[in-house]
Amino acid sequence: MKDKDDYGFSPASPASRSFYRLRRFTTRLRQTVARRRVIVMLLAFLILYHFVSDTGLPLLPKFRWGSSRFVIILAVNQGGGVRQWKGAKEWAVERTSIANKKAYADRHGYDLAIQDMSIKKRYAHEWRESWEKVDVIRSTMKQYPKAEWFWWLDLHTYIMEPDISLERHVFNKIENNTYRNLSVYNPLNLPVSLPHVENHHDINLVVPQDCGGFNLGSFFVRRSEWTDFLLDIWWDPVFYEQRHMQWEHKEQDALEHMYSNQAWIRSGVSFIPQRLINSFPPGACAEQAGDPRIFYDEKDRDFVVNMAGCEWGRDCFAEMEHFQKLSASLQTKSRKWLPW
Amino acid sequence: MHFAIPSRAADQSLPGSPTFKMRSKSKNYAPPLLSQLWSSVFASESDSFERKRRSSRRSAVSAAVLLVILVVVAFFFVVYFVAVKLTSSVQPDGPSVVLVLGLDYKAYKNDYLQKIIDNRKEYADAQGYGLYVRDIHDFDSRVNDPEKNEWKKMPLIRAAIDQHPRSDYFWYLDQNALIMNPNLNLEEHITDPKKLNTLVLRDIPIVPPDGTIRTYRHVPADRMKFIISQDHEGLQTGSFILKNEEYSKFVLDSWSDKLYQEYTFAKKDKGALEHLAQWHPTVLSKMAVIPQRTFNSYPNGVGESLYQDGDFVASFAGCEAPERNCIREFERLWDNRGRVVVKK
Repeated sequence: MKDKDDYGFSPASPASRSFYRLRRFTTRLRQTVARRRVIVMLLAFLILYHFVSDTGLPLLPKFRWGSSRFVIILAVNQGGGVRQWKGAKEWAVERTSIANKKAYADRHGYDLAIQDMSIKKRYAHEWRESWEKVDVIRSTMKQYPKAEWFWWLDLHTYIMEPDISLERHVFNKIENNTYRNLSVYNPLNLPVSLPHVENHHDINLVVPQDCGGFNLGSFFVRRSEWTDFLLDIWWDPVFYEQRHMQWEHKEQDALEHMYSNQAWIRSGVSFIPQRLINSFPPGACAEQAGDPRIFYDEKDRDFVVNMAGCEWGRDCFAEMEHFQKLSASLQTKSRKWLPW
Repeated sequence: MHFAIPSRAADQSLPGSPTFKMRSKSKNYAPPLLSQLWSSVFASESDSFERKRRSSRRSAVSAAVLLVILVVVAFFFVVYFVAVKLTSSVQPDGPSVVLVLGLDYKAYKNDYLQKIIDNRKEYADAQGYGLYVRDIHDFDSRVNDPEKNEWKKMPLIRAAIDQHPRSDYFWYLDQNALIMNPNLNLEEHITDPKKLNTLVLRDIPIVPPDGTIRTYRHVPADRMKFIISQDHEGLQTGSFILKNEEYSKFVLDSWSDKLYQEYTFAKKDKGALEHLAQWHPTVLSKMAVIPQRTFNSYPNGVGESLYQDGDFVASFAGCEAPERNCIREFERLWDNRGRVVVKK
């Protein structure tokens, strides 16, 4: 097949032939852009929107240059199969959860740190180096030195609405979305005020409260000097020795203790309504059935479900399947095209 | 008749001639939007007088608008600066150093305590520092056991920080201590980073003589926020300086935690502070241990702790012990104390 350029004769060598092909291509491109200006501008606008905005266009994965401001810490392999055998169901639950977080992180360009929480000797009872969550957060902060917020998620959680971005959902208006005053909701009956608390301190820890107190299954922690102090003082041998037999929930109870006694901690902690990032299935907090502040509601399209305590007495696999199917059907039924 | 030159209409069929219509000759020519706007805004009428009158009126209007804008901006500037001056005069910056003193009105007589206050006041006035004095029993409700006064100094200092939010340093000095040399400026003597760098003891054990955890070797002095000394037994909490930062609030609150108070450390609050420094690097990294005689000499001490003439502070804390006598020790020091040298 002969190459004919505009003047009706074909050039001699293969090199100059491909050169002319290239020139023709660029000319055609230039002409198309000139002729279809409106469509080209629309496409350019969409591409720019996808890269510049927080969330980007729906359905497209967002590639972020450099590292993200947000890191999701997903705690997997809880126990590592030491105390209980990990059967097919446990593996399936783990796969589902990881895939869900991976898809979410890709969708919004967040980083995902999957951290192994198998039982180590150093966290065993007599070794006195307990509260492994704290160590994991500290090491993740070292791994992602440019990130600002770290979102801790337990394994038995599912992100139901992947189109919601953290910026829009929580952080753009963090003072409005969270509350600092315990008088709003105080399930533990902690002292409502302490002397010397600063009301306008930076928020460095965003924690939901469930029916039994603080819930560390899904919470945010920010990189700051305050957080360095917290991660250092959270585990202390004297606290541990005196209270570890009473503190069933380890880090959570230690944090509640410090929150009740130390004013500097109160200054930096803010509470988030549970259903924003930590809705419960009907099985958890079952004594409070019907409380609108706790349970996942399909109509309101809650963001995240935390199947807390499903490994004691409930069926994690069935619950995870249920929520996975529910999320998929909700997405197809009425996709949230706009992220607000 | 033959024309030598072909007619215009035939132009278009000449070889090499352009086959498109020339822009300027097309009947359907419409100028682009921008140039239309431009000409509609800036086109001048043919009448030059009209143009001059309209343009002079327009320039007068625009000049008036500009003047109004300038006046408004000037007004806002004036208001802002006046407001800043007013507020800055209402809320002064605060003294750079605040002395913190907690007095035990139940165990000591008023005239004795008054002399202690006078001693502090003399020093604070001479150096331009603040003084925060409270009855230590105001803080009885804030500690686990109201009998134990040593745990009340943390809420006391917290209250001092709340009262003086713009001060830089808070110097806690025990009630049973006297400032013997009030001519020493605290910044020059201790807290200035260059001076502090010469004073900081590096790589010494927190718990002498052979504790494992030692003070840091390479942290520069300008990052130190907690200045304290130690004697042969360990850290001495009768005299220490804290900087007004997040770190100090963290240290004071965690040091006085209920669980530490319940734990029955042998050395009580000193033991708790040593524990805190040994187990938590965020505390130890900003702690400067300086030689004891800088601001905590003992008149009845031994070796390195022994008070000598010219020392800054003489501390007779621990004089409640049965073999000692607070009043006698105090009297001896009170008579020998240095006074402020008034510079002419």
